[in-house]
Amino acid sequence: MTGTLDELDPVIHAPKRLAAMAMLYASVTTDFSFLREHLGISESDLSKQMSALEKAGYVKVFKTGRGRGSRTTYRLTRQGAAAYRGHRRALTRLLGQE
Amino acid sequence: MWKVLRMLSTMESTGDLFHAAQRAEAAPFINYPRGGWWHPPLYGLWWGAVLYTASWPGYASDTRRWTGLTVHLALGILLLVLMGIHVAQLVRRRGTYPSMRAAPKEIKATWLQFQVACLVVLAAFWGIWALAGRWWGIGAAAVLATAVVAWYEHAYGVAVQKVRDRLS
Repeated sequence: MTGTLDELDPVIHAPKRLAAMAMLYASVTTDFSFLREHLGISESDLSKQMSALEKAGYVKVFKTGRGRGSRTTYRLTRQGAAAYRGHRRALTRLLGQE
Repeated sequence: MWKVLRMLSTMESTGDLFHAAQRAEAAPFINYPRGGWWHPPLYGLWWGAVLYTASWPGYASDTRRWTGLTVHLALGILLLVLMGIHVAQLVRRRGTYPSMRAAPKEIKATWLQFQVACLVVLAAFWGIWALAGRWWGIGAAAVLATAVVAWYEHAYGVAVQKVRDRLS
């Protein structure tokens, strides 16, 4: 049980970040609006969560355009994809033990 | 709208987290812009044009051969660029570009059937080309591709509903 708990990634374990990582894992690229609408959280909250993921090296940010037409998109890094897979595996194992 | 974290306030168990992750993985596939009635025939025309370009038999004389090759090559590039623009617009409207690596099993099954159907269209093209001629092959492939895309759009909608029901 302890081994499985150790495999949980503290950066991803927070529900909002876990859901954001899951959406990015299931996509090649996803934009800020899509994440915000599906997570149902504020822009500032999402910016904070995504900054944490970027700082951990799990996501790459791409910004295009300026002003109203500007667009921010995210892409999972290889490190992020591996971290998400590992975290998901650990969750599955924990579910099996419950 | 497919809300991923609708139970955030009560999300305490590992099961809740896992369920939220599954809903989030499904999100890029669930909300998608539906194409109009013109969508399948447009794809059919595109397929027909691609097969026309790819199956160009060439000309006997050197001068015409090079002119023909240049024209067909330019047409091929133009078709690819048009498809690229179309996909980029779809991604922009949708806000995401789904990846099959974490697709729900219902969507994966439909996608696999679509790929097999595309191979059948190609096989039909080659067969009809060999039996009845190039133009018949191109025409049949365009009609078949239209039917395949129309079927896929319907089947995708059914698969999405199944995912919604399973993860609701």
